[in-house]
Amino acid sequence: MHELEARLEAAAPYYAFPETPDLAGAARARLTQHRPRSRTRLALVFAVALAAVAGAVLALSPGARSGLVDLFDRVPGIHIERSVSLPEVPYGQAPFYGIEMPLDEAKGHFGRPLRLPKGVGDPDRVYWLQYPPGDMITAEYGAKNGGAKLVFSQWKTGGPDLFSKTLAFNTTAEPAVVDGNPGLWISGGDHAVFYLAPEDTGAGANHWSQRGYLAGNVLAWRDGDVIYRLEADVPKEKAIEIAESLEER
Amino acid sequence: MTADASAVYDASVVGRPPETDVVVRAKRGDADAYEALLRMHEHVAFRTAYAIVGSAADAEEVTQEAFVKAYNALPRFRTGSPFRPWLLRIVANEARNRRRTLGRRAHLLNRAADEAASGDPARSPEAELVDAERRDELFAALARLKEEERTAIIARYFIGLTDEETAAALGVRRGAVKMRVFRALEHLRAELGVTVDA
Repeated sequence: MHELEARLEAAAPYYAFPETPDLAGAARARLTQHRPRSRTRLALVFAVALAAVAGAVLALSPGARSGLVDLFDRVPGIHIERSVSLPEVPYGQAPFYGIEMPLDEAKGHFGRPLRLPKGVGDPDRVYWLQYPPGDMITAEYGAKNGGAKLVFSQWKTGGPDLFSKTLAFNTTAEPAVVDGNPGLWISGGDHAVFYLAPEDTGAGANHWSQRGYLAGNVLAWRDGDVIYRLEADVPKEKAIEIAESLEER
Repeated sequence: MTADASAVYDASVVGRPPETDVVVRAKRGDADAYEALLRMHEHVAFRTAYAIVGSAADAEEVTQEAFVKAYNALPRFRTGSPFRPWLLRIVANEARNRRRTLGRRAHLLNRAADEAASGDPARSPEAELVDAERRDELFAALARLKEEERTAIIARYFIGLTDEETAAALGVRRGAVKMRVFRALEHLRAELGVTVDA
């Protein structure tokens, strides 16, 4: 170690920090009785952007926009719109899928059997998000270093829109069919995902500012009253193959 | 903390559970778990706030406020991630906001703690005097640094934060932390007449 660094470390105990007060106890006393999550007060807040928009982003023509609106109405619970720019979101943490828990416990929260992809093994992590109405279960496969190879979510429809995707120009969306059900295939690098969160987010912010989902493509579809969302860095055909392999667990 | 909570979380009783377990419980609304979590990090959090606001009273208020906000923000914390950098980011944000509000500059560092340990008792009074003079010289040079460089040095060497934690506390990327520390050391060497290879 260089002399100066050694001097700094040797001097550290002599630096006049004040004595640390009982902060944990004081903060505890100020905590309200309610849980940190609120089911009643919801606000639409943004969560993620997969990547910053590089360079100029072109707007779509009115005709093309109209066609897309029809297309995007295919899956209830997901609202998609074009945007000439994406919100700037600092990279940091992975998105919050909810509370991590064992698969069996997640099943209990969902209130019905979960359907998970076959042939990809057991999920590494399972999360339960209790809001909005229509609890969402998310399974991560191949989770490593804050990322994952496959993220699969399912939630019951009937509540407010859970996801609202904003697509930049260089993202494409096209129809997809999964087991005869309507769906969307969204590919390309730039899109933002907004989703519902407690209004009282604390930390001085009214929105989430976390790193985006996987840098993968997204297949979203509806089957009965459940919406499924599959994200992985695979082509459309492979995504549909995985989607059609769902089995009850 | 309640007696029951102590039985669960106090390391001296049953051994401290992994931090992730405590985080999960806190995220479920377990206030005892959250308090236990804060106990693990309150010392560093307070010192980080103090390094930014420069006043013990303000640092106490800031840290307490940040702890409450962090509780409300817990649903957004990704289980399994290191908790301390996340908490420090909230504490530091709150501290920077407070500093802006008060228009207060960071405190100077040219004081040594009277109550600090005196070091090796076998050392002669003359040697102790030389060490004290060298420390005073160092603290005085530190006080003359730019605020951002001084805070980086305090975070790294006096509080003992990692690069990641320092970045969270300063609200900058890790690369910027390394640059600030590098520049601060260069300036200190110049002030103190210390060579790199010494």
